[in-house]
Amino acid sequence: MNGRVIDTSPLAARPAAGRRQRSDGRLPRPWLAPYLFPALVVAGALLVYPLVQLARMSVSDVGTTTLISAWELVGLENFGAVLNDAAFWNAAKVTALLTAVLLVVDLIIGFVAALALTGRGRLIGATLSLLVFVWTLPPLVSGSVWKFLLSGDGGVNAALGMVGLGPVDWLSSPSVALWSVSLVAAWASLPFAILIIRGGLMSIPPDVLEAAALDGANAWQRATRVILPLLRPTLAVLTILLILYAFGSFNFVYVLTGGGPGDTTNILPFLAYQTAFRTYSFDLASAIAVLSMVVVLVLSVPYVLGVRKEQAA
Amino acid sequence: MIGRRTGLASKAFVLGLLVVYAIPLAWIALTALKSEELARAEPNTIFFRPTLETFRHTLEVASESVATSIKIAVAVTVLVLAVAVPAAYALARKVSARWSRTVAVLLGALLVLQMVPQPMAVIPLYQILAGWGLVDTLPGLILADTANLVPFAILLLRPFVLAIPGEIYEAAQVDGASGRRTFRSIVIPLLPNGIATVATIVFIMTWGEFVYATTLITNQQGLPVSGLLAQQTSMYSVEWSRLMGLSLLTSLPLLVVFLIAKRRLVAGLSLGAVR
Amino acid sequence: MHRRRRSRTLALAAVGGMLMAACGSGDDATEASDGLVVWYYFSGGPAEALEKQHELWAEAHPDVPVEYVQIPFEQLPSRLLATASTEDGPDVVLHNVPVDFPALAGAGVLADLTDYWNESEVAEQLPDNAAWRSDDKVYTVMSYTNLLGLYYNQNILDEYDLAPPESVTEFEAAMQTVAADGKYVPLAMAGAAGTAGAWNFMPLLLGRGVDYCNLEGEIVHEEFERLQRWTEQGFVPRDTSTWIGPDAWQQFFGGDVAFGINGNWNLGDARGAEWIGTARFPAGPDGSHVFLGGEGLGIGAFSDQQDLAWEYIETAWLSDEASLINFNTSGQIPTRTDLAEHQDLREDALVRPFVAAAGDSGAWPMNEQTAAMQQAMGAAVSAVISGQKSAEQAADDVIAEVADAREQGGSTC
Repeated sequence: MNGRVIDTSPLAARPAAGRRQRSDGRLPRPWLAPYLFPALVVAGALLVYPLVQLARMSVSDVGTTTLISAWELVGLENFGAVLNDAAFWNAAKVTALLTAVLLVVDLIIGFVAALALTGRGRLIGATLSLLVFVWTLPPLVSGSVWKFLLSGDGGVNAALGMVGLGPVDWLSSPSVALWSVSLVAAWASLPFAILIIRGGLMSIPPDVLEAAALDGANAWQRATRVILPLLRPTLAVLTILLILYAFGSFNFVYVLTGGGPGDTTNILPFLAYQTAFRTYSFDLASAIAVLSMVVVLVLSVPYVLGVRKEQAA
Repeated sequence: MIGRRTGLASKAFVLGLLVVYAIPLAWIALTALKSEELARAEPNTIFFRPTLETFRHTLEVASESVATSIKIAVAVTVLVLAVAVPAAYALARKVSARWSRTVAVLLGALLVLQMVPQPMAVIPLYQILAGWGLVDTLPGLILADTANLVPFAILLLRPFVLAIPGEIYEAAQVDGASGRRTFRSIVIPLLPNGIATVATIVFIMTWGEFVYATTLITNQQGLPVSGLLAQQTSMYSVEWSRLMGLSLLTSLPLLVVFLIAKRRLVAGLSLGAVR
Repeated sequence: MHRRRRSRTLALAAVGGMLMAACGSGDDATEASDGLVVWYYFSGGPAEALEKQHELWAEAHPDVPVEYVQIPFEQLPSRLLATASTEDGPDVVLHNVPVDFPALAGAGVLADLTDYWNESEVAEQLPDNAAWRSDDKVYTVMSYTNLLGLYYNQNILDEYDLAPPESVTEFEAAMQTVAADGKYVPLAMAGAAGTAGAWNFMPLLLGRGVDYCNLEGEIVHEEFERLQRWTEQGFVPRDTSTWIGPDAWQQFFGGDVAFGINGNWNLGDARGAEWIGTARFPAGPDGSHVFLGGEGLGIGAFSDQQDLAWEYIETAWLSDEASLINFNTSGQIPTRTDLAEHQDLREDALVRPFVAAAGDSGAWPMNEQTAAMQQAMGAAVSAVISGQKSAEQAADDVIAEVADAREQGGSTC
């Protein structure tokens, strides 16, 4: 199996021989399609069909009794129902805040941490290993730990109590719970952000930085004027991936609050999941998922435009 | 020279990070050292007589799952890289205006494909794999995980390819290197950081994936670590000690993977000019 | 016996016909089974019980092995629905009846058990409500049930000279006493948005004659106000709004909480702590009623050995031996009426309230949207406990949402 898939890689694909003689006198353009071929095969075989089914469900009547029979087309009815539901708008609002917290924490702290963790030394090595180790723990476990630590009589309140503060209902106060959940989600994804940014940092050619240092730039100037612009593609992708993560993953909501108290932490992916697998309205859930996709696509317009610009450059 | 103050601040920052991640980890380790009853009755206590019972039990049940997980994660990582590295290369080259438009469209498409919620992809995926006779088999799960991570890996790898200066391609062409040779002997050797970073992340994410692992595989002997962990809770009870112990032990192999990958991360900035 | 043989012959004929249609693809159509596949999701005590019950089957049918497949709770329905799309699936499945039944039965993934149920001698010992029906056909049977009761901490009750409460009024007075001293938390219950919160709160409504089918009016408001009072007066900590059953149990089991509303599946823990006592859920004017939960046994719609599967269900689950093994191992209450007076159940003081409650349960709505109703109720409960919504608001909202869901599910109840 593995062998066959690897065989379709461009290494075995048709060489660009025939394309070499271009008459415009410029160097021949490489023929790139074969390099995309394996990815297209994988996507075509395993990713497109689920997407098509999702889209179909979102415009059909699919409930428990109809799931495995033929679906009746209902047009945009499901979207109408979802958009008229206060629960959807609440979830959209909640998701927006969680995404914002995630982005701010992961990008800013992630960048600073990646800079701080690029050097050598025992402390840095140990911290990196610890971060990665914690990141690999299943969300069920790391989330449960925070549920204990943030509970009314948990460790965080105990620590606050020692300095005469609190207690705070971290997970059960309607005004605080979403912040707690967002911060835990950010805490959990920060190691990922650090790894990505650090990988990007280490790929920056050293002479660029040396040149900047010779020009007398201080650490702050180098970070903001030299490194950040060079990391732009990496940070752009990371931003998109974090948005995807916020719109697609609900593990921490599930473990920490179950969407509560009330509906204050019920983010879109959790709402979609509940709608599909707790109340078995696959059609409405698909509509929610499709709407989330549209939002993410809109949010990634700058990224895609940026791609065109950098391609043109 | 460049700021003893910066160095100090950076050290303090790293220490802060260390604490924020070490405390929850310590809590997990403590719980794993408690008996199940104690973990339930006094989850917050830190004074108790530790028992290795959990770890003993864990070693017994987990070794087979760890082997399965290693098989799956290695296969998925290799497959994902085999598919994503060339694709990321193609999507990062600048050849013509038309190609740039194609790239923008394809990246958008990758984002969309990435977004089908995993639980909702289970049913159609199951149908596809059943058609190929791959349900309840490791290859089936490996294919599903690969497909799940390929768009993600392409997006992540692309910036690394972008960082390769255009002059390098020109030089290669002037030297008469074929497209294939350029890719194999010039591009790939310039991507150690990208490949190491993405491989680590893909490996770790595959290790933790449990939605496909528990729905596309039901053979109890063939359950990977993530599936085993997902089984530890039910609506009736949670076996905290066991859950924590299991998650600690089964994350250890990942630490090894990371340490290996870390060594492959070649500092582009030799001697760390950002110190 | 006769009947069973006849239906097996019929099944064989059917299989034979299919084989002929498939041009005799060469598979052997002999009676030898290569085993049964059973799906379940629980762990801990109930899973231990399952292993022991299997011994009964292994003795009766040493030639038919059973493969037990544990699928995580959250994944079981989707996995089952997925296999159905390819006409595949387990022979027997234990699923979460109160929530999943209408969906699974409606989706056609469960086989019709009506004939087995009507003709089985073993099944005669079970009450009629142990069979779950959709469109008058039986799709699931319950050999045991799980339900809520009131756990109390005898030490704390002694300290304040309190007796285990029988009515809601007594219960509130007791909690008042405990709260006034401030030394202990009065009550640990589940109040998370989701089925857990609904499951814990509904008995208050059931005790006043209100269930999902007639959910409206002043009584609903009053009971939500009661819940709001419980939070405001500190009877339940605010964290209750995010607790599911195991969280609440953890709190109670820690020893600093006077009362715990929780299920009989914790009896295993409780037996190990001599300071724990049990009572029925405090009664309202209409008596004490709780919902019956637990797993139901269904046969996969695409199983080609349904007779054998039913035999397995009878032997390893419905039989008196199996029920008692299950009870003694995991504390799950047998549904068999002839066991209610069995000494194992009678002599265990901790269990008695649960056994009594099993015979006096509330009625689940027979509606396709039952899960949506429970979700709405859970969200309202969590909202009131946390203070996100006033009792007034939450009651209005949940009445409207449940009515909506009921209508969407075809108005049956």
